[in-house]
Amino acid sequence: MSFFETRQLCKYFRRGTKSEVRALDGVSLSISQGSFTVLRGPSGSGKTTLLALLGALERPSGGEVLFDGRELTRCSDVELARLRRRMGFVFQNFSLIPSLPVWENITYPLIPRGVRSGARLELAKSLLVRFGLIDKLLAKPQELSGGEQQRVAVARALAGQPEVILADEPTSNLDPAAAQTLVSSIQAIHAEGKTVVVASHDPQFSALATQVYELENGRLKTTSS
Amino acid sequence: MPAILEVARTGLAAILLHPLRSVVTAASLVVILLPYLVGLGLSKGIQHEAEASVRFGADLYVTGEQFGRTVPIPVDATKEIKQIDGVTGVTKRIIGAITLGTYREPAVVVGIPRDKFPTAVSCVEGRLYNEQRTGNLQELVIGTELARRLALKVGSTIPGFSSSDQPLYLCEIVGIFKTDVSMWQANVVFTSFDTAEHIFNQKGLATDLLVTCRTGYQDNVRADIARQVKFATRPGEGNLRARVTTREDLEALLPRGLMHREGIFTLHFVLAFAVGILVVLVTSGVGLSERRREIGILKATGWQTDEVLLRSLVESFLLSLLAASVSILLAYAWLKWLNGYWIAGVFVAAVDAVPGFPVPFRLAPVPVLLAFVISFAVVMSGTLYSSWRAATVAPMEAMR
Repeated sequence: MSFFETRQLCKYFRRGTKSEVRALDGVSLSISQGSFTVLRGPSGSGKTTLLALLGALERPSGGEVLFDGRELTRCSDVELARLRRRMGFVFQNFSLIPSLPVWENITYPLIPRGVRSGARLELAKSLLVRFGLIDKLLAKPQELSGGEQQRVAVARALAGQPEVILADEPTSNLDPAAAQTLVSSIQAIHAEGKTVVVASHDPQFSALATQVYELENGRLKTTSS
Repeated sequence: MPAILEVARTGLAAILLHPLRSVVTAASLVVILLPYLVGLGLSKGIQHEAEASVRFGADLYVTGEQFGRTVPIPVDATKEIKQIDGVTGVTKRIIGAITLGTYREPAVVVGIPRDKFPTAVSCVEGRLYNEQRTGNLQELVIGTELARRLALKVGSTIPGFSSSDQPLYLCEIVGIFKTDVSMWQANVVFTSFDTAEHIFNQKGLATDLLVTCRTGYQDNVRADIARQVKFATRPGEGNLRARVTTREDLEALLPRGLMHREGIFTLHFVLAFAVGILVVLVTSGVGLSERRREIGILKATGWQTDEVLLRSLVESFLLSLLAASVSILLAYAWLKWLNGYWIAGVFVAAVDAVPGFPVPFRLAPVPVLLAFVISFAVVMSGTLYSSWRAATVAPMEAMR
C-alpha cells in the first residue's frame, strides 16, 4: 500500500509572471510504507519542493498529494498540523531555533502535545546519548558544528516518534566524516521500521535506497527499485 | 489542559529568549504610558484636594449678580444675611489677582478678617497682619515659596501692582507661612479685609460672603438670601441681586476646569500616542524575520496555528503587564519624589517646571487599568498580527 502518493503534482512560484518558475511539473509517484526512498537530481530539479509538498509544508499549485490515504490539499490547517506530527522533517539548513538550548530544540515539537518539561528533558537526553551529543545538552545551536547541528535536527525529527522521516539534503553542509555518521544514523532509523524519504544526490543514500526517483527540471526522469 | 499550559509557558519563555526585542518593546510602551499616568495622577489628585477644600469650606458662597454675571457684593449685605433664620456666621472676603516685585510675580491676594485666617496655615516666621491698616504700608503674609522666588524676608518692602503699570502701593512682608499646607496656597498672599479693600480700591465691596448655617437650614437660607437680599448700586441704576452658590454647586463645578485641562492634556497625549504606536510597531517588528522563521519551524514541527497564536498572546500579555507595571511604578516615583516635575505646570497655573509645593496626586484605578489596556492593545497590534500572518502561510514560506 502506498504511504505517499502524488498525482500530477505541480508547484509554480511567481505564477503568472514572466519570471514564473515551474519547480514541479506533473510529478506522479508512490512511496510505500517502510521504504527507504531517495529523491535524486541536480540542484534546482525540484527535490526540496517535492519533499516539502510530501511533508505538507507547502501547498501545491496543482495535482494531489496523498499521505496514508488522506488528500493533503483538502485538509484543514488543524488536520495538516496533526499529520505533520506523524512526520519528522530534517532541513538542509538545520532550522534550529537559535535562542533555544539543544534539548529544548529537540523537544519543542512535543509542547503542544502536553509533554511536561521534565519528560521532555529525559527524552532529549536519551536522543542525545544516541547521537553522541549528550555533552551539548544545554548548548545553543550556534555553539555546535554543522555536523552536530544536523544530528540535533535529526534528533528533533525523531522526538515525536514519527512514522516517516523526510530529510532534505541532510549531508550537503557536512564534512565527509560527519556525513558518514549521519548516513549511519538515518540507516539505523530505517532499520527500526520507519519510512525514510531523503532528497539528496549523495551516493551513500542511493546505496541504501529501496526506491530512487530521479528528477530533472521539475519532472520525474527515472524510477528505480 | 496541560498542553495549553505548556504552550502558554513558552510565551513567558519567549520574552526571556528575546531579551533585546522584549526590552525595546517594553521601553517604548513605558515612554508612551508614563507621562499619561503622571498627568492623570496629578489631575485626580488636584480634583480630590479641591473637593476636600470645598467640603471643609462654608455652606454658602454669596456674590452679587448683574446681567447674569458674578460681580462683587456690597459688604452691607453681611448685616442683612446675619438676620436670616439659620445663619450662624458671615465672613466677608476679597480675592483678587496682583503682581508683586520688580519681576511682576503673579499672586492671589486673599483679604480675610484675621480671626478667620485658615487654622491649617501657621506662620513659620514673623506674625499675622493687623486687622486695621496703619500708615501707607500694606501688611502681607506670604508663603515660603513666594518669598523664595521674590527673595523676601520678614520686614521686606516691595511694590504692588493691581491693574495699571504704575505701582499703587508699597507692601511690607510681616509673616511667612509654609506653602506645603495645600497647593492652593502656593501663590496666595493673605492680608486683612481692610487692606485688600484698599489694594484693589473697592471700598465697601467684597468678592464674596462666606455663610455658615445650622444643620438642615441650608436650603431655606439659600432661598431667603436669593429672595430678600437686593441692593441699589447707585441711585437710579437698578438693583444688584445676590447669587448663592452652595457647597454642592461648587463640587459639581470643580471637575469642569480640571476636565478642560485634562482634555487638552489628553489631546496632546493622543497625538503622542499615535506616534508612539508607530514606534512600538517598528520596535516590536525588531526581529520580525526571526519571529517569522521561528513560527515557520514551529508549524513545520507540528504546532497548530492556534497554539502559535496562544504563545504570542501570552508573550504580548506578559510584556504589556510588565510595561504597564513599570510605568505605574515610575509614575508614582515621578509624582512622589520628583513632585510632578514639568507636567505639574500643565495642571496648575503659574507653576514652574519644579513646583515649590507638594503637588497632590492620586493614581486612581481607572487610569491604571487604562494603562494596562493601552499597553496590551499596542503590543498585540505589534506582535499578534505579524504572528498571525506568519502562522497562516505555509511553513516553508514562513521559513524562507
